[in-house]
Amino acid sequence: MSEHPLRIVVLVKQVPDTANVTGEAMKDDGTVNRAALPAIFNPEDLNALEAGLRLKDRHGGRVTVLTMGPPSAAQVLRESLFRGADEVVLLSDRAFAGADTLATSYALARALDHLGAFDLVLCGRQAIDGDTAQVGPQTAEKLGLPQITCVSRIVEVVPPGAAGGAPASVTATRSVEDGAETLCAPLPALLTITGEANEPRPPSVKLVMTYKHAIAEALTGYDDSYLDPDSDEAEVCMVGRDGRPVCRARIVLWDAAAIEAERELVGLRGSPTRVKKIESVVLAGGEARLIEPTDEGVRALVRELIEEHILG
Amino acid sequence: MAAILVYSEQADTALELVGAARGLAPQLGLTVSAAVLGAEAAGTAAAAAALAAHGAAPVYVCTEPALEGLDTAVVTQALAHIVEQAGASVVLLGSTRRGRELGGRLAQRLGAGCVTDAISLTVEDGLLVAGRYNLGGATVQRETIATPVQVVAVMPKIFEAGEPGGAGAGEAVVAVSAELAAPAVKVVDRRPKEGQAVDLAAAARIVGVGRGLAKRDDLPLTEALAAALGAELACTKSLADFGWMADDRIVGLSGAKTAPDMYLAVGISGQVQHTVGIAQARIIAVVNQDKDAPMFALADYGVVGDLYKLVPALVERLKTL
Repeated sequence: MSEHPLRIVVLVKQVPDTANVTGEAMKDDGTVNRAALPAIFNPEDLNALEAGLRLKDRHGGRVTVLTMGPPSAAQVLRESLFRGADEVVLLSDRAFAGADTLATSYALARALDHLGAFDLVLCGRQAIDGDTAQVGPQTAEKLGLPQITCVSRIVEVVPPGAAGGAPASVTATRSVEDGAETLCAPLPALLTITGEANEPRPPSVKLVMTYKHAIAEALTGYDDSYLDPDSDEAEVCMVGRDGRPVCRARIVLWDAAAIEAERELVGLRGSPTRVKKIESVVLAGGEARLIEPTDEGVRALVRELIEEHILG
Repeated sequence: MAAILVYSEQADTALELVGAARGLAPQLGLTVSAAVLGAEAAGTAAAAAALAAHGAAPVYVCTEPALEGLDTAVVTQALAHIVEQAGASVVLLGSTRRGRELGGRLAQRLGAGCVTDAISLTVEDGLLVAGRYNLGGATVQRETIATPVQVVAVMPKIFEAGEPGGAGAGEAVVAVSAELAAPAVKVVDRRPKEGQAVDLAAAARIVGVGRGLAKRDDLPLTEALAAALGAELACTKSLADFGWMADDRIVGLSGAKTAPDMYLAVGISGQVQHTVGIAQARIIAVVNQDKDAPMFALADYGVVGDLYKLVPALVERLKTL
């Protein structure tokens, strides 16, 4: 029996760029205007994609990228194609809107079922909008997969059908609070990947040229008001299976019916966590005393710290 | 009577959670119980005794051999079993790396809603409300969970362990036997943290370093400053992601929440996910080239200038004291 090419699925998410929440992104009532934040590829999901692409480079195989989101989330799939993904799938349906981690992992697990057999599911450790780190483990539990979370290095993958009859497995290192551990899981398995794991490759110019025109933009008029957790109105542009695709060609579009998801278990209806209140975090210091960047300034700073009983 | 069930693989965190649960229990009309898991009898017995002494009653102890190594999928099975046996409606876990993956798996198995990284727990209208940072620390989102069982992973060091005692202190320890599948994930190697453990949460002075530092080779510059100040060295998540410093040196949402007398931020722009970790600092001093860096908004003392000139000058000055 010869080594099989690896079948890798990468779960990714489009997120608001929370790294630079500036004054302009704050509404008058102190809440964050998500629409004012640029939508980006969740950083650690890019590390997961990179990990998948490197395994494919080494062992051969196929990298499928799956995301759930509004039609505009097709952008992260496009960026995956630019980096070398073979196949991309967008789960998008009005019914998915407002999903918490339980409803999201249910829909992703249904979609993974529909993709057929796979050896590895890779996702980022956590998304920078919610930082819950839940969707990976929840999806693993739903599918009964072994998991290794917070992976900083994939040490080795033994693909199915490897020479010598070694069982298919993945070995990876991760750090936990009290140290580091190297774990080995049988395939199929789910891994969550951290930013330490690799340096994601940039888009390939050739692939950008290939795909940038092959993929249509999201439908215009899409209303993203459902992104506001205060709103019960889930307004996402409805896209069915009926031949009105969001994107042509390379992006496979699935709605709730396509993955045979139960309506009660997806979106807001399938989400038991409810946001009761959102408070903005205001960290304000006193008026800063500005100190000159000179030797005199340095002396003054040290003197101040002594007077504050920090030093001396 | 239904119960709050507490579990963390970290003994300190488990005691903190019992402390939190004792505060919540009367308001929710629940009792406080705890679970201890592990293949090794002596260690689990000691942990169970400590939890019982702090008021968890009963403490469910499961020492099935499959729990060796505490694989999350196996821990999930064991806890799901205990949740049922205890009639638990609230499960409090520690939001450690292991705790967060456990929270997800357990919630999924129980069909429960789950909140991780909780920084506050309150009861409003008879419902448990868990607060957590959202959008990289820019907001705090207070959430309720609508399922019969609620799973909440709580950040370590948010609650006090409390004094021994409380209702039913030292009461029954219940041995639990459960049929658990052997772990699929094998531990190949496990090594404790290299070097001395750092406890930023307890540090009185901290020098925090951010991306204003151009390269790893320049770290000794900031190490010298920390040494001269008798401070711990800390960093932003970016620097840990670069591999320049260990994860336990991160201050902020993904790391330590600190409360030093002084936090000296060197080359840190001041993104919210970092600054939530220094909200309790008494004095914040900032050295940054960029006068518009958000970090200055929090500063008590601000120096706009080149850290490569200012840090050595500070070190020199401190040496003369």
